[in-house]
This record gives sequence, structure tokens and C-alpha cells, in this order.
Amino acid sequence: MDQSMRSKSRLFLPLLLILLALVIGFTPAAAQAKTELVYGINNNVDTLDPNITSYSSVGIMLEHVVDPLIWQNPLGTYHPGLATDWSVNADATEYTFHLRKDVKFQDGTPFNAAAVKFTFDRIVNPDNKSQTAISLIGPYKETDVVDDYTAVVKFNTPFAPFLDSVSQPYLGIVSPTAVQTLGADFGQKTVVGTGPFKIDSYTPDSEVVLVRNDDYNWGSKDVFGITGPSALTKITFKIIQEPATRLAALESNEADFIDDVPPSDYNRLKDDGNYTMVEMTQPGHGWSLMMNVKKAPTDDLQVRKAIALASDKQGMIDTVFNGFGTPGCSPLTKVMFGYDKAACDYLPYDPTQAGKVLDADGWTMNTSTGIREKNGTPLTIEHYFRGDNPLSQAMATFMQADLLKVGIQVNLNGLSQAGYFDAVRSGKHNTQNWWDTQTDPDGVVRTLFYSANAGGGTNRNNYVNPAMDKLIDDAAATTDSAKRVDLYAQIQKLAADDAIMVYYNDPYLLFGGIPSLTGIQFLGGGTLPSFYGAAFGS
Amino acid sequence: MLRPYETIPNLPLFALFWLSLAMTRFLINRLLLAIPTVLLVSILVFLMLHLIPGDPAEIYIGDKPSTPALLAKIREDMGLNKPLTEQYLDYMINILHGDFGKSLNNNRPILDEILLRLPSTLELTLAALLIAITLGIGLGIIAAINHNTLIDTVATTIALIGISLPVYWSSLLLIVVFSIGLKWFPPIGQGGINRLILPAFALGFLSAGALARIVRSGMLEVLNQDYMITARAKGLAERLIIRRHALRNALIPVVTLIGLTFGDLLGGAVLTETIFARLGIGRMYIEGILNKDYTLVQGATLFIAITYVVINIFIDLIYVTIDPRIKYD
Repeated sequence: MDQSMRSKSRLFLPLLLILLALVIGFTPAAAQAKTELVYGINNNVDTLDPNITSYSSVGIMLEHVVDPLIWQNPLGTYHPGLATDWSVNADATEYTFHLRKDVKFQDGTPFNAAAVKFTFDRIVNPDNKSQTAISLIGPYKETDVVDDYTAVVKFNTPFAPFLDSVSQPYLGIVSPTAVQTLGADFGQKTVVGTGPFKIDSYTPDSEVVLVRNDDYNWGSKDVFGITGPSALTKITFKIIQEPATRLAALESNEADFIDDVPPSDYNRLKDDGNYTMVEMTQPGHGWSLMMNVKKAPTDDLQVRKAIALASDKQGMIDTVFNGFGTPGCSPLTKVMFGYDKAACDYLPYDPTQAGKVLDADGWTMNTSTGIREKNGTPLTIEHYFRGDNPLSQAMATFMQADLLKVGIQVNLNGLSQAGYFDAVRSGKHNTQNWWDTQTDPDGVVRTLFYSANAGGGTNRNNYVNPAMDKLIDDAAATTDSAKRVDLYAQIQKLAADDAIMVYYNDPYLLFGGIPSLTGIQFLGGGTLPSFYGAAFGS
Repeated sequence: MLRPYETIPNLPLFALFWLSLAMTRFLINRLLLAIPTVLLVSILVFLMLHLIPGDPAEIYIGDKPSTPALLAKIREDMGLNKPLTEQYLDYMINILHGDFGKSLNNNRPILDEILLRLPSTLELTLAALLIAITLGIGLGIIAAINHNTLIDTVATTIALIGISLPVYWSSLLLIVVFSIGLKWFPPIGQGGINRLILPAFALGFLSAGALARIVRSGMLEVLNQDYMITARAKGLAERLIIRRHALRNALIPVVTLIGLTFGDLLGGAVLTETIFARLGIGRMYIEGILNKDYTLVQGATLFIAITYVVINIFIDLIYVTIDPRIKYD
């Protein structure tokens, strides 16, 4: 009896041994076969369907699975894709695409003009609840199938941004046969396109695995340097949303490439020497301050000018953004087609000048409070932001201290999401922050300055100016690049003259990878790393 | 002293029958009592969508690109176009048919979403529970039998560290040491025990601390009882005294605590699943909240509430079985 009890009591020892064996037994996983890439991606998947998704992470994955009609690299420069050539009518309402005749979808369905029509029609069908693609396709009217390999895409109003739109994976062409036969599984389990990789498996919240499409031979040599099958046989996108874990995945050899590297660790990895680090200026609109022109005191042009002049952009970048980014100059970040360098001189950082502007406008300094006043009213700004967002919080605090130096008091209203949207949509704010990733200038300036978006929409400057509307519409109605550039320069000048916004920071997109991985193309102005032309060196 | 775990196997058949009858009655009783709880939860969960200020469809869209047609479609999918009572009845009828609705974010059935992640969450929670029990009871016993010695101090300190370490911090620490430094375990994902050990340990260590302290104080109390002196006077081996006489009596409150710990671990899994990028219900829930995926949050809350009620009934059953002083009534 005593003996048996003793042996039972020794149960802990084998348990301990098993644990030890586990610890010792699990040595690091064998090195990756050098044709298989693991990408630690920062965001999840809503649906794999590129025509429906609202996630840019899905854009990165699906850009390998579907092909666009035309490629764009760098922004504003276009190359043949599934279309060999294209033409646009004078007012940018009709786009004619001549298609490749040698392309097959991954399910064997031949690629043709009917597939183009099918794809674009399903994007605008409200039942499909498309999000990104439907905003990219704009005032789409219809697609005419002229013959098997000629498609004419028509718009209700002039739409010059379409060349940019159609170069993105969100407007990538999908197999009509697969959509019809798979039904609800299309997008949830797989997607069938014409791209260099096929979807092998998708585990929600975990990973999307792509395998090489061995039949692919219609790649763009101009963009990727190759036309045939990729050197990589497999791409695994591991969904790792926690930044520290994503970083750990790279550092523990679980991932070969990660995006959205935490800024606080970027320089450590760069100095380490074992990683290739990439920083790209984000396309679209950087971190900025919208000023409500309908609410006092930001209804006063001189007050808005003073706020712009008094904003220490580099200081904010150093303090709030860990030094990553460059001071913003214009609603368009510096990589955008149409960005005008001259915009940097319009409202430069000059707190002394800000003081003079306010003095001339009758806002005199009350030396006992440190706040300027006009007819007894203190110069107070109501700033609204998402209180649950640390970055918004940090920007708000910096701005408050910054503007106090020139005698402007900023009241911080950090609210929950619902409260925030209620407040800014109804125009209770003087100021709020904005930031947006886009690749065509039309989307940016339309979102911020177009009259139809004021009064509750995305134009929370509530700026309404027929001259601005006309410039925006004119720029959207011409595909003549030089003319567009000139019109966008005028828009940037007018936005500065009316001091509608303060542009704080054109932020960086930060990527990191192992040095043997080469040949990555950063499409979409840097937002879409593409691995079709990539390979592992020795 | 009557020990049910020793006596039950020897009970005559009719006694066993009476016991199972009592158990069935107890079970039915508890299930009936659970109905109002679940109904109340369902009403609260349902109203959640309507108590939020503003149009739920617009909040869902936020600053994302949208069109009026898209907003109308989302309102329709949320069922916002019908009167409130009708919406609730539809909702409940669907749930009784096992239809928890579809995720706004990806249109997948919510029950499928939950069932996909349930095995992974259970695996993590059970592994963490095993670690918590092994470590917690072990440390507690060691501390108690070496009361007021250096060993006691060390064991108590380890328990204190366990309680004090925030899960997200200990998780990151484990990743830095065992994934980046020693490269023993991968930091992410699921599948294979090597991907389970780090998250299970991060999660289990927290509860181990609490368990160790309860076991230690329970043991100390029992060790001072008269029957311990009697046992020693009988000349029993010290090991036997600790196992048979001290630990068994000290364990009764611990069993209750373990039941509660299971709930804590499910909650703690939210953080561990996020940090270790594991598939799991906690992570799904957090993402649902962040994405304003109201239908998913509604469905998942109700599912978790029902699960919790069922687990509680089981805990009561186990408790009755273990402690003879508690009866089925």
C-alpha cells in the first residue's frame, strides 16, 4: 500500500520529464524552402473577393491572384496588363480596352470582354455590398462588349481617375464561371482570377495560402521584369495584427517579410544589419487638420491662416510620429501624381508671422491669461477627436501646446466613435484630424473640398466654393496629364489661399524583410508590395 | 468521516437510481431557471444595437467609402427597417433555429464563425487550466508544508508574480525569450503543441498564482486541525498525511475556484489570442467590436452567455458530486 502510494506520488516526475522533453524536442523549425515566402500582414480579411472587400490587406493578397486591365507604376505611369492597349474619349466618359487573346482564368475559363463586363457590373450591384471597388469605379454606367476582345467602359459623367482605378486589384477581373458556380463560397473560400498565383487555402483570422499558377505567361515585363511563372512557388500571408508579435515573427524567422513595422523598432532593425528595411511615403492624404469654415472662430480666414502658420509640423513628426514622415505641404502627399512642390512655400511654419496675422485681425493678447481676445471673446478652438485612438490623442495634445504659444486656446473633446461622428457630422467642431490612403488625386481633393461632401459628408471643412468645384470637375474631365497637373496645382493654391487645412505629416509606410528576398515591386504608390517578380537569393 | 468518493461505488442499485433521479430533477430545475437568464441576456444583447446613439448602419460604415444604396442594404441586413418588437421576434425565432445571423463584415454565418474558433479556444483554455492547476497546487503545497521558511517565501513570491504580471506583458516577455532569443517556440499561430506552449503558459501562469495562494492558505488551515495530530499519532508517513488528510480537505474550495478560473481563462484568452495571433473566439469578439460588426458581437455575446450558463450548471453538478454536504435541491 505504502509502495503504491509512493509510486503514485511520483506522477509529477514523469510529467516534469515530458515537459522537459517537449522543451528540448522543439528545436526551431527547419529553414524555409527558398521558394516559399511567408508574409506577416497587419490586417485581417473580410472577404477574399477583391471586388467586394474594404480591406487593403486583401488588395495586397489578391493583387497576386487577379490581374488588372492595366498596370500602374509609378503613380501616373501606365503599362499594358490584361489590356494590350486602350483609348479614352475627349471628355473621359468612354474607355476602350483591347484585350489579350491568350489569357485563361485559373479554372480554365477563357478571359474575354464578357468577363470584364461581368466583373464591373457585379461591383455596382448593390446586393454585393462592394466597398472599395464601388468607390473606385465612380459614375460607372455600363460596359459594352464590342467583340470578344474589345470592351468599352462608359461613365455617366467624366471620370479621368478611372485609369488609376482600373490598375488596382480591387477592379481585377474575376472568372464569371467561378462566381456563378461557387455562389456564396466565392470570396469566402476562394477566388478565381488570371493572376500568377492561385488561392490554395484560407483560414479565417490565420492565413491565406497562395500557390504558383504554372500556366501564367502574360506578366508585365515593364513592371516586374518577367512574363512567365513566378520564381516563388508559395506565398503564405500570416495575419498578425499585434505589432510586437509581427515583429517577433520576423525576428524569429517565422516570417520573411512584414508590413507596418512598429516605428519604435524600425531603426533598431535597420541598425541590426540582418534585415532589409523599406520606407515609402504613403500615397493619398497625410495626417492633417480640417478646419470648419462655418463655425466661429475658424470661419475667419485670418484665424485659419494663423493656425496653419503656427503649426510646428517637424516638431509634431518628431514627438508624435517617432520622426517618421516629412512635413506636409499639400492635400496630396509627395508621391502623388499632381503634387505641386510650390505648395511647401504657401503657409510655412512661422509663429511670429502667425502672431502678426492675429494682431492685424484684431485678436490681441491678454497678457494675464496668455489667450488672445477680440471684443472680450477669447480665441478658443473646439477640437474633436476619437478619445480611444492614442495617435489622435497625441496629435491633439501636441496641437494644444503648439497653438497656445501664439495665444490660441484649444479645448480637447475626445469622444467615443459614435459621439465623435455625431459631433463632426453636425458641424460642432472647429477642427478635426484627417488621413486617407488614395492613389488618384481626384479622390483626395473631392473628399476634402468638394461642395457635395460638405454638410455632414467627408468635407468636414464644410468648405463650399464653386470655383473649387469647377477645378475639381475639370481635372476629372481630362485625361491630358499636363492639363491635369496644372489643374491640381491650382487646386492646391486655392486650398492654401483659403487656408482650409493644415497638413502635418506625409507619413511613411514601413516594411521589413530578410535581405535574401529581392525583386519586390511596391505598386499602388507603395501600398501594394508585389512578389510576382521576387525571389530568394543564395 | 463519510467520503462519498469512496462509498458511492458500494451503494446498492436503488440508491444509485434515486441519486440519478435526484440529479435529473436538479438538472431540469436548473435548466428551467436558466431560461429567464438567457431571455434577459437576449433582450439586452438585442437592444445593444438600438441603444447606441446614431444610425447603426452609418456608424458601421464610419469613414469608409459608401453610397446611399450601400447604406440602405446594410440597414436591411441589420433588419433596421422593421418595428422593434418584430425585429426582436425575428431575431429570437432565428436563434431558436440555430441561426445567429450573419457577420456584417464578411457575411459568414455567426455560428460557423464561432464553431470554427471554438476548438482552438478550448485547446488553449484547457492547456492553460492544466498549467494553472499543476503549478498552482504544486506551489501551494510546497509553500504550506515549508511554512515560514525560505522555500515558502520563494513559492509565495512566484505566486505573487503570477498574479501581478499582466497577460500581455508576460506574453511578450515569453516571445522575446523563447521565440526571438532561444528560438525554441514559434511566436504565432496554432496547430502543434509547440505553438500552444507559450500562450498556454502566459495564460495559465496568471491563474496559477491565485490558485497557489488559495491552496497554501487552505493547507495551512487544515494542517493545524486536530485530525492531523491524530494521523501523525497513528504513525502514518508524512507524505501520506499530506496527500490523504490535508490535501483532500484543502481542495474543496479549490475545486470551486477552478470552475471560476475556467471563466477567467476564457476572458484572458482574448489577449493571448491577439498577441500570439491565434484563431479564437476572444480575438473574434474584439475584432467584431473594433469593426463595429454588431451582428457578430450580438450573436457571439449570446452564445458566450448561453455557454456560461451551461458551464455553471455543470460546475454545480460537479460540486454536488464532490462535496457530500451539498444536496440536489
